Amino acid sequence: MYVGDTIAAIATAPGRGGIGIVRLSGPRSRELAESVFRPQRAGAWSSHTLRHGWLVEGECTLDEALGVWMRAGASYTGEDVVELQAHGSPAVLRRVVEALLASGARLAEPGEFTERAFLNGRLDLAQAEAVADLIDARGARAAEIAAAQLHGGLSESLGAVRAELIELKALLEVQLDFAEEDVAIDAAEIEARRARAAQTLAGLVDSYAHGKRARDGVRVAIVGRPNVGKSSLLNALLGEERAIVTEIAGTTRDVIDESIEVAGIPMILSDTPGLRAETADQVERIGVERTAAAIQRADGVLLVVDASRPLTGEDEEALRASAAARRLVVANKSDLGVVLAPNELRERTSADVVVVSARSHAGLNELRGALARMLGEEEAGGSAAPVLTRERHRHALQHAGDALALAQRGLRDGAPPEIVAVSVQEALDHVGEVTGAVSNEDVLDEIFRRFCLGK
Amino acid sequence: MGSFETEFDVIVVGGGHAGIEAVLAAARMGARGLLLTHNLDHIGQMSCNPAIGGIGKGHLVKEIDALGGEMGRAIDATGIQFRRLNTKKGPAVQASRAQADKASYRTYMKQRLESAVGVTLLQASVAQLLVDAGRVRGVATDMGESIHAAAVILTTGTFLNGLMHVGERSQAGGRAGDAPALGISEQLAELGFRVGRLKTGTCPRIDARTIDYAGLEVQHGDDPPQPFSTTTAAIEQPQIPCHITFTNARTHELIRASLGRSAMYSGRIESTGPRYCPSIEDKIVRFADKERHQIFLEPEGRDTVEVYPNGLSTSLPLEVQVDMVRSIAGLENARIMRPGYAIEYDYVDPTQLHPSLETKPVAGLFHAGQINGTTGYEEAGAQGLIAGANAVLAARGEAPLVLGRDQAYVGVLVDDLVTKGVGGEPYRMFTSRAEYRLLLREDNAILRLGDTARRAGLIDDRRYAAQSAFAAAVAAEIDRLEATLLRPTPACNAALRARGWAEILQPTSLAQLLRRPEISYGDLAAGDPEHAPANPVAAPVAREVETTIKYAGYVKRQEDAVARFRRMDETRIPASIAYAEIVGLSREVCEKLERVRPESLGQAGRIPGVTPAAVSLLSVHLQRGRLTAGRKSA
Repeated sequence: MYVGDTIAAIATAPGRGGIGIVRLSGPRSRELAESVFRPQRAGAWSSHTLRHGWLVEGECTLDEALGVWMRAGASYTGEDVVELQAHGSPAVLRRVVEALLASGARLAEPGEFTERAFLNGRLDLAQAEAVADLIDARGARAAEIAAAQLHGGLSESLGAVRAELIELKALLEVQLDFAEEDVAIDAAEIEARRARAAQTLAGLVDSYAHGKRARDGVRVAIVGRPNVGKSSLLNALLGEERAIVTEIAGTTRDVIDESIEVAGIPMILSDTPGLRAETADQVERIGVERTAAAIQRADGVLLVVDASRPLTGEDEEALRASAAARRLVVANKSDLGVVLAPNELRERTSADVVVVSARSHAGLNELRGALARMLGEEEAGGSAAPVLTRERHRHALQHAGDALALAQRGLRDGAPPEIVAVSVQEALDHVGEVTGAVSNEDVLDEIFRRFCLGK
Repeated sequence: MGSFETEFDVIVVGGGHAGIEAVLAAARMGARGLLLTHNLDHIGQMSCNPAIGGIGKGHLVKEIDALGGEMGRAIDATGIQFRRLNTKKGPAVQASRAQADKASYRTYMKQRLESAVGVTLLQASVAQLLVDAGRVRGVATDMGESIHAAAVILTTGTFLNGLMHVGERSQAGGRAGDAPALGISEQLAELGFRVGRLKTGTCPRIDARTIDYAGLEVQHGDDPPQPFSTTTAAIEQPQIPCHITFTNARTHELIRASLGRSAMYSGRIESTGPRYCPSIEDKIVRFADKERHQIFLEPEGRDTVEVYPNGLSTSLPLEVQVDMVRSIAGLENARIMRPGYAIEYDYVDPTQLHPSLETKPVAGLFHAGQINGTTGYEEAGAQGLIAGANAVLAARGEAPLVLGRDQAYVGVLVDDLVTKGVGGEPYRMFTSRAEYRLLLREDNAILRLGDTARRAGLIDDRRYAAQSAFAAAVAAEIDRLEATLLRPTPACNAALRARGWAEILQPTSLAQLLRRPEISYGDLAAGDPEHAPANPVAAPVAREVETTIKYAGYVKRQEDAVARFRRMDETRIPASIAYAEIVGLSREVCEKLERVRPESLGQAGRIPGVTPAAVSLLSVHLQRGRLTAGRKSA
């Protein structure tokens, strides 16, 4: 258990709410919040004062937001707390949290904010009773999750990293504690073990994106010029009214995420603002940028056109914008007549074309089939390689990898073994957060197994 | 009864390395201590190899010294060869070791005890502990005498039900030539202690006059030799070399052919013994493809011909030992003077100790040394000192002396013992056991422990003043190096280039320059009077300054970790805690906590098998208890 590091998580209930809050608690809250939140007015935070600004990811603006800092001693947890309030899009909130983790926050365990509040004397006795139950439940759930997660290939991979690191540590330690003994250490073996462990870790960290997809769903962006019926199509696929649909072009200004399951594949459909060739409206221009970002991020694109009219310049824009993506062309509004020839479209886009009517639901089943084919192939093509699915695990293994990079630098620069050992121990501690702690007894066991020691 | 006193503040049972430090520490703090031993001539005997210190162990000796203990001064006065180990590595893992003159060491220690104010020596065996209502009252000797004290420290070494093995023969004894201590184990078991059995062994001793040293590798001591104790100005006595030889295929054949006759391999002793100190039988079986094993020939003293062939620990029958020894280069005509043997003895589960080394079942009773499952003179001495100090503090009703894992190897040692216990083999110190190794250097032992020693009354004003002066000198020189700036003038850069160093581009402090791996503290001052301190600093100060500056980045990383660790260790768990009442703790975890009954949240978390979720639960439970208490008192 780490006390006093800075934790972050989405603090509002999962799903789409009117407003979503990302909460940070711990000494680095303000510093880390600044990595994702750009206040409108520069200057220092003052406690309990709302600041207006934008959530950003690098150069990209994600959302408009309000930020508030509550100083230690006067916050819910009793520590420095920053809350970032944005529109409730789960996708945006998740990306904010991921950016915070990348900057050095740790993902809060369920109930951890409350636990900290309790430990800092911010709750009364009755509330405290509830916290104990919560942690109890967490222990049980964590065990359950760990058991479910760490099976098969993943467990094997992590076990291999752990063993590799223990051997690596043993090779360093034997030089320190048994320097007087007749032991031969091969420097090349040390670097080889380090490199193997680092490579496996990197693979596991990379697999997180894939694992996340398996858990959250493949991303599909619905793209097209304004008023081709993107939101209607989304609603038709969802089977209910969700996205706001009007006759006025450009109604959808935010990217809207919805989860559905198509032929057993979980998907996140992102309805995007319509792509216009040019717009003077600043808000819409932001929308256009977001659409481009959504295409970039998506595993597949549904390119929607109006089947009842010839392609417009704006359609051509949408075609160009999605050209690099794996896509499926949806010729909508077939109920108003079909003037676009599917064959021509197919030739022009080198993509499958499905003719549908979002209004009458004609062709929707074909669309579902085509979607499943397009995205299912990838799923089927996915190898059986182990996959990380939990952010907490990714976080731990990422840090383990960072520590091994430091170790590599040390080895390269000829740092003495006790210095390299500090980094290797850090890596072991982080891997231990996932696999269970590695004690210095484990390292001694390895030393004695491998070397004949003792005068 | 005659005129012998029967009332003391502290009774120490055992005159080994733990017992000596225990009674001296108590006496330094003003207590009246009695040391009982079955043979006054064997005080401070080194039962195994003739050396003090080593990697991890040298650190312990320096800490014992910083805490006012005797071991460092004793070896400085009587050592016959001094070496710094790991000198090619960083300062944290460099360590001191010295070969001892066993007889002189014993004499030194006995004289020290005889001359110490507050120490009484008595040759007697203890028949029984006097215990009343869960508290120790004293001891009864085998002469029928009862001696009383508020605290008793057991430092029984390998003597509790000691049983020695050579080949097929077994003989009761605490050490070759000494009788075992019988009856105490049984009484301890009745008092609720978990008594277990451990095994260790030692080498045969060889007559130096029968060794052909020609052709053997020689190992000399350092010149000049570095003392262990900060109170020793210099080592004056001449040094004696050691020699190195190796076993060979024939040695291995001989041993293999007789494995069935080894006490350990014939099944007469069940445990395999410590892995870091294996018998030669063990090495040959477990590392069958290793062609030779190193043997250090260590003289046992200046005035004796006995030589300790380090690496040849064995429980083979004597005639096999003779053949084995004679198969080795240089030892072809060697005569064995004492056979090697294995020994089994009782120890008491150290998780039944408080971190003060007072036992939980019997108040006022302390355990130190091999009775706690450790091995090594240094480990024993360190525990003895802590037990001695805490026996006095407990009698005064003061808080115990408990050192943190981030503060001293002694802290790591005691915490490991009382938290994890010993698993199947005697516990020995390694630097890898210390998480905060970079902070725990031999060189900074007095900086780490001086204030603690002073507060406990373990060091006198004069020593404390010397320690404070050292700390001040280090701080002043670091300040000077941080404050002295070099400017990137052509002249300055030319001077840097001339010495083969990279140029500077902006004003650079001497400290920054020193952080470059290629530049040492000595380099900085050499040939450049402008950058030398006004008065040259003493070598130990210079070493500490250099280490502090060069290690700073890594030390900072460890200190951050220490801050986290401290918060957990400062959260106390009340002795009255009922683990069974904590909702949500698994039975398995509950049993583990119940067995150790940790005193802090940090200690709880270090018990093997206690999960982070369990520690969270425990912490919430504690906080809830505090709230309830607050409400009641309101």
